[in-house]
Amino acid sequence: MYVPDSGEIYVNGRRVIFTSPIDAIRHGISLVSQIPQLIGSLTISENIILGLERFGMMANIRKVENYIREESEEVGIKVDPNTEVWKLSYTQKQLVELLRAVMLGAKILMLDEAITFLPIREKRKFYKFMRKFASQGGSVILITHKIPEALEVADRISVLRRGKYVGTVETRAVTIDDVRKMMFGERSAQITYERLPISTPDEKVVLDIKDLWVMGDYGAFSVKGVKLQVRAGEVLGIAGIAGNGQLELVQAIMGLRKVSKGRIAILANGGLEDVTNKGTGKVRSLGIGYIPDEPLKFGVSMENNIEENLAMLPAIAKGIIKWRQIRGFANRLISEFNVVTPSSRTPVKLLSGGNIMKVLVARELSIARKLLVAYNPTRALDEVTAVMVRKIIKEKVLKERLAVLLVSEDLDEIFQVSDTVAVMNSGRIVKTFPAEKAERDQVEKLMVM
Amino acid sequence: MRLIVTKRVKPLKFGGIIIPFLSIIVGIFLATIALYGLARVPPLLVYGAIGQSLISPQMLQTFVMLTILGVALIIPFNAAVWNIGAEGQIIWGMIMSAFIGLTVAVRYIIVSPSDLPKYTNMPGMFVLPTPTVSGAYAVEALSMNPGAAICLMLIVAGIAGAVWALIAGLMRAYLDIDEVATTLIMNYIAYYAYNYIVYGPLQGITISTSGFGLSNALHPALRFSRISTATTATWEGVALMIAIFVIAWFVLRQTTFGLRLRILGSNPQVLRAAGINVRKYIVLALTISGAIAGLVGTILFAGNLYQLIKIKTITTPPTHNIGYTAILVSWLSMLDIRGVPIAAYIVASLFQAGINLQSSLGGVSGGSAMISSGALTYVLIGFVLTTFTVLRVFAEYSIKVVREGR
Amino acid sequence: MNAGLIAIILGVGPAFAAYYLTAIGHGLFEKSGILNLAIDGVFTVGVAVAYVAALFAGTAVAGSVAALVVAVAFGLLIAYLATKLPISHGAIGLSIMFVGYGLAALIAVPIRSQINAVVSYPMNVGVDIAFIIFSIVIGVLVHYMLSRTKLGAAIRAAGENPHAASSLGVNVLRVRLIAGMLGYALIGLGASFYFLAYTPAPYSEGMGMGQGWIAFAISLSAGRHPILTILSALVFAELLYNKFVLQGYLGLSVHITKMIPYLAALVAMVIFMVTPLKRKLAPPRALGKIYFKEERTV
Repeated sequence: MYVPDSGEIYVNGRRVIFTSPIDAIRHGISLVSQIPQLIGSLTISENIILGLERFGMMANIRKVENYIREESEEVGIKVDPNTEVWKLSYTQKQLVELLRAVMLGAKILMLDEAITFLPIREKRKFYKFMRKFASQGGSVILITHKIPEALEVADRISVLRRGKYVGTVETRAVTIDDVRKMMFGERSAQITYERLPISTPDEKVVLDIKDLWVMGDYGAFSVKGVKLQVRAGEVLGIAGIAGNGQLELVQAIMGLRKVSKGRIAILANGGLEDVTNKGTGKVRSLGIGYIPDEPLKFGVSMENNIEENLAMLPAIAKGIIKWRQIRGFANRLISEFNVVTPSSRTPVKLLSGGNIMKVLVARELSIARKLLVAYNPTRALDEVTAVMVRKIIKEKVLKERLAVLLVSEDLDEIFQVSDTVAVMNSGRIVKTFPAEKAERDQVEKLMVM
Repeated sequence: MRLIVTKRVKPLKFGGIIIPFLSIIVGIFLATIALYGLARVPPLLVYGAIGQSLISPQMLQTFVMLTILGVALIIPFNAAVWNIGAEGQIIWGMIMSAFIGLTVAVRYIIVSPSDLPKYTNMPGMFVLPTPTVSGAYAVEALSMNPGAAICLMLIVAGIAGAVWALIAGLMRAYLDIDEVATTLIMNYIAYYAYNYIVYGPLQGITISTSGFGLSNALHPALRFSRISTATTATWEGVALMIAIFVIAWFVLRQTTFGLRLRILGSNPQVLRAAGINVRKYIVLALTISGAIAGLVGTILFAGNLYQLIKIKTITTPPTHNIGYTAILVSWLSMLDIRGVPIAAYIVASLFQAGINLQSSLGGVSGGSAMISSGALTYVLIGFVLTTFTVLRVFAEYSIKVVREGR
Repeated sequence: MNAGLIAIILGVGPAFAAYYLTAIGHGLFEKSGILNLAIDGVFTVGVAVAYVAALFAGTAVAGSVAALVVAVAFGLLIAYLATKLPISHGAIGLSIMFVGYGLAALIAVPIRSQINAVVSYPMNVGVDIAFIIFSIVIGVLVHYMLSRTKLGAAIRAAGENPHAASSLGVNVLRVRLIAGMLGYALIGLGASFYFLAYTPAPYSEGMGMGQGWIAFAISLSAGRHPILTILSALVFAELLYNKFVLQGYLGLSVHITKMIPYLAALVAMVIFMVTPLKRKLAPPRALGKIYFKEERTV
């Protein structure tokens, strides 16, 4: 899928260069990721036959069905090969992916969070299969953020942190805390940054969520009965590892994803107004700022310049655009946030990632009157700017009594600005702490359990 | 050997100018090869015809209509909504202009042949050239102020075009039905509706028109006024062109509506996250486009044709397929409204070149003289457009050819 | 049943074959994810080539073969450009449509002005039946290929999600080239039947124009399903072939009668999108989407 910019890959002692997934498959490497890669409108057999080179182009799909039945018994799963994939549950899809990997003759099976969300019973079955697979000479690389899972099945554990290799340990020789320390770094236990002044929230609830259930992209619930409140003058930080339902939660709040069950209410005209499934326009009109995940896709329009990216929001311009006024506004934000850009009329795509992010944060902060919903707002920023952005957010909270829902995968960020820390894991808010009582190692444990 | 395509960090400098011009040159070159190879048309004749057409006043009317249509199409195209239905929208504009011009704005006085001389020179009276079925003559008398009638024609034509496009817009926005297919199919429906109408409700009342698929002729007071005798372009058409261009420029560049339309084309998710109703914009983009195309129907009817003439085969509508040709204009402009008049000028020249080339083919042996100007225009336009479509990739991507094997 | 009625029903054979083959060719190509707006232009070229080739070879079969070959060349070109380059499918399709309209005239008009003859398929009930059987057999084969073979699965995968297809092991470019070749072979064949069997008249410029769009509508109104297309092609062909009968029978204006197939196509599209058929006959998800993978040198 990616071709390395530098470095080398060796399989069985021979250097290889993969330019497509097929190359890797030919060398006996199969990948199953967290997101099913199967094609929904095709049946299971069709999805599988596409990668099997021993079948020619005109081969009848029936021919592969018997193989599938045999192999699926081997792997320990039950499937009807004639079912269209879109009818399957997430679990079944993942099992089909695993079956496919095995049928492709994988010698090295890479599981990228592939079984993280499987129910425990299916998981156990699969653990058994992995053992068998390994004892028959195969290798399994299991990528997971759940330490207990790694401890349960792996022989050796390697830790990667922010793209860097940290180290490898024998499972027998370590405890959950050792691995956690490796994952979160040496400063794991102590706080090495200045915590911003804690704000005492008002009584006034700005965002009220009750028993929220939201479906993910692959037909399973990603948010499972979340209940939370954000009050004026409060930063609620949601800590969690990516893919535990935070994204879906945020999208549901912003009206970008359908809520299956539950209620979202936002403060309007003195009382809480139900905005569940009322659309983004409604939510935005209540004075809500939003810093989305994948900001380059959902936050700014790359083809347009800074001024246009400001003027597009209904909260900033209506009807005829007064460009002079917009330019003044743009230049104010540019200087306030130190955006490095030739001018306010430079297309956003020519700016660096960090500067694009600054433009986005500046814009959303400027329009957030009541609530700011932010997902990793400082991810692409350098440390200095990141701290600056957090300070600006906090200042607005302290002075203008803004409410902030901050979802971040960066624990430093959570601890630096939050007044309340909530931990989200597998679609649930597992625990909520007032900031002063939140212990870092406790939070980490809740994240990776 | 394989191609490696990578996105440029910065778009090609002056790509917006170099690429269209390069495409025109390469496209014309390819067209000459095809013309010579298949029909033995001497290349020099082709170049001569194109050169001549660049300065020909005859292409002015085509230029006017193509500019307006280019603007009409660029609005939805900017939003990545593909209106291929300008043909149908123009046709409805023509039909409704004719309805106003031939029924609402005039009344018919039936006079016996003996009384006819009285009316021939009476101001405000227009005698239809041939007698009616009963042998009497029909005289058109204005029943309203001609200025008001022309305005009414434009308004109603605009509404008709808008409604026709609105149907496709609603289907796209709410049922997710591809607008390319619907607008295209609706062109054919419009063509047949047009024929139905010229044989039915709007058929003429004289012996040479009734039942022959012709409407009555438009009263001269309701016709647009020609700029000069050398051209079919009209003052009203030019004025409309300027007005539409300026308004569209203003809307696209100076309003949030235009800004959001442009963003819709490249990144609809951003608009959704900003809380904007994307469906509304899709519907509006198509409706506005249809309204402008409808106005071209009036320009065509009241400026050039003065009469609805049946469509003999669906490939030869009275629009001369200008609604399709306009697609080329908006593409060549790289979807930048400032480029529309330039693109329209080039395409109008190619359009005229087809006509010029056709008339200069008389002396060429081998039967190529029988090829219609329309087909010659298609050859020129087709090759330029294809070349442009391929070359324009270079504006944003760089393409390298590398040999396989390392 | 009287002979007249049989003639009315079976006489539709050549028209049916022409529209049906073109429609399933179009459907097959679009299944691979490429929006096929060039169809009408290539159909028009196919008609011109069929006319000229049949005339020179003295046999209608040669006309069909030549039209097929020329159409395949177009199909491969479109498939290659639309897959390999980040190009708008709509733009390349319509551009080639214009080229097709122009080339058709260049190919056929000069010949027509020198030779006043037409070589066509024989016209009798036996031939009509043969056309129907032939095209249905092809349709069944296409259906088998699409729904039962690995190639068919690969074509559908490429149309549904080319990126995922590629990681499942599909060579998207190759599969789309095959789809372009097969699809346009059928379109070329259909165009040749349109001229050589359905309307064998002395060539006049623009012959076949607009017919490709009808086939487009036929395919769309049957959700690109080769077997369902039999039904929609039959309805359209009967409407077109027997338009005068229909006109007399229903007392409709000829213009309205001609409009009916297009209205039917629109209505069919709406029906598909608002009923459960939407899922079953939904257009390929990646239809018309630019398939572009940033390639980097190693």
